[in-house]
Amino acid sequence: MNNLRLKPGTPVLVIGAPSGNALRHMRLMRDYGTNIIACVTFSEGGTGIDGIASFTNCADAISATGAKVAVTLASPDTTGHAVLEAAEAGVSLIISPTILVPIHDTLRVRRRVRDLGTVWIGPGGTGLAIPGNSINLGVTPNEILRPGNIGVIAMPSTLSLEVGFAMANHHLGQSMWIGVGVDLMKGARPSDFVPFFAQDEETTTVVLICGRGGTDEEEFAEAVGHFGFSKPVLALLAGENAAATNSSFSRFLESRQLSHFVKIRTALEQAGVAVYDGIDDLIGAIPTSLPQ
Amino acid sequence: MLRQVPKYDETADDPAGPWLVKPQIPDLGLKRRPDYITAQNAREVAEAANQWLGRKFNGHKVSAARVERKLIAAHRGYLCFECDPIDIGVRVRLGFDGAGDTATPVEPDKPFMTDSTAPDPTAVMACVERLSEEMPDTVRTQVNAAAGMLAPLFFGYEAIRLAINPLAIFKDGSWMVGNVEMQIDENGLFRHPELISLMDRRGDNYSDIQRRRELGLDFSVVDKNGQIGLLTNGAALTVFLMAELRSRNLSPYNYVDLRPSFIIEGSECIKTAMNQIIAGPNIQTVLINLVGVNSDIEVIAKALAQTLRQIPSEIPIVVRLAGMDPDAAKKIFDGSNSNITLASDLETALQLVERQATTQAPS
Repeated sequence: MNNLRLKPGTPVLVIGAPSGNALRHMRLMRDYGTNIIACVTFSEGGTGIDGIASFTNCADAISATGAKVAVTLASPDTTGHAVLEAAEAGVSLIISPTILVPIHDTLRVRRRVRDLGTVWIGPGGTGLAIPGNSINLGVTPNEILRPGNIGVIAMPSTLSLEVGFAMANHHLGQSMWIGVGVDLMKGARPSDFVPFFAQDEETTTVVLICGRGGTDEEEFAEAVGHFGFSKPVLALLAGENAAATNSSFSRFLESRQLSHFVKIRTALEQAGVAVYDGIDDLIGAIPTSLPQ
Repeated sequence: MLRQVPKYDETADDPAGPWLVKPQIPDLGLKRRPDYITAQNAREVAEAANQWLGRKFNGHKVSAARVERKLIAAHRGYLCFECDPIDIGVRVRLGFDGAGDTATPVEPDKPFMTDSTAPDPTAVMACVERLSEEMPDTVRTQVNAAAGMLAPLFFGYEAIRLAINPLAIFKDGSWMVGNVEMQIDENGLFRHPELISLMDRRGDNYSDIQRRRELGLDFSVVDKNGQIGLLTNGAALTVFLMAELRSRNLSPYNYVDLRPSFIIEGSECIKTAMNQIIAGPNIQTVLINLVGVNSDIEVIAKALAQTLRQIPSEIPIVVRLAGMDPDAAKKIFDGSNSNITLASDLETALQLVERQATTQAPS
């Protein structure tokens, strides 16, 4: 994970952004200051988009521009191919905000990407942002990002963005925002970032926004315990109180496999993580005596 | 398959049983799945069918009961393949005669074998072969034969989980798959027209998936007497909002997760959800909270405003569109129903809902 702390101006390759929302997000990333120097559209190439050089494959794009990082804005059925091509062409970090990617695609690609030593964030999730270095890779809204010292690991996108809006309202900034998503099968998992945040000098507090669908939170807790984290770690686990007081709500959550509250809370608290069930409570608990 | 309670003839000879009478309903997860009833004769089959038909489980009505002959097997094998997100592969689980079945407690003295392997049929079969070396000869050959047939299906249909329980192994060495649980990845369905066709043919059993596929809508009534209708996107955010409402002593009527890419002009997604919400007998207010994420919030706002104009309802609606400039939102909703109030942030929206629900509450 040493390749996460990207320097300002890191050259970025965007894959699959010829039109529509993908193009809109590419422009938003650029507006934030992200140095997008190449696009890969697989079919067009050559002419360029918004003045950015366009290529038909990742290897050509990387050898011509020196791109170090890739953001895939491809469709769900082509995301696996895009990630694989970018990893094999040599980028060290890939961000994939695309949702609804087939699990077996992720499974096959994730295995290969791991063997190549590439960090893959996604699919789904909002992506990676480093506000202090004016880098936004993915679909995290620019308006919730500001330089600060909070390391955010965001699982469910919409709930995480609400936390982001609340942070912005309270003038809280992030050392890094990592939106990993809630897919069962994903690239990097929340626990993978624990060693990084434990050592990152820019981060004084870590916030995890829980998803409750799998084992990610319990793995995260185990990693926090293992690394003997000295920084405050806070987590948002939304919905537990309502489930405890309403049986129909509780049954519904169970049917959607969203009811692992007790297991998650216990694991996190045993690792020393402070767990909150409301956004305001979470925001209020973030240490503010340190510079944000 | 019984769709109505059968008539039975007391004078006729009963065919050889015993029989298992199973309710046919969509998967509710292991914890909430109802059991089957064992019947010894035709009269008991009819009684069991009578117990199942028409009953509801988690909102799903039992419209059919399946009758199966109980297998009298010499051995019961257990075989499971599932995607393994931690080891990034496929986890194989094997057991026999009571071990390995995740639906019932594992007998501690029975061997239970598991390992994770590469995601391809050859690797999975090799893993089964290796693990089954610890099994007795009377079981091993059959487990390997079943795995050889099932591993290609697991990958071919892009399953998340495929569990055989039991794999019935008879005295003569023949075997039969007693029960299959196969969880398919909805995201991979577009590559499987045969599965889509199956769902179309058996719409009653797959209505939730069909609604997600066709309308981009996941909807469920949580409390039929609930006061607050929800029209929101993001599963976790909706659950958070339901919890927030409950902490304010308000009862949410429904769970919903709209897929933003479906919220475009002319789409049925919002209309369908809104019509279901306003049909709630005690709805006092509707909270609409939408976040764009990958989609453009302005496109969502325009589609929402257009649809709400077409829905005749006096029920107050609070609309909050995350990340949208309030003035731009106001322009889009100009000329909309007078019962719509725009909120600039989530807390304001929740306060408005609370106030309106209090005003509307019967004295």
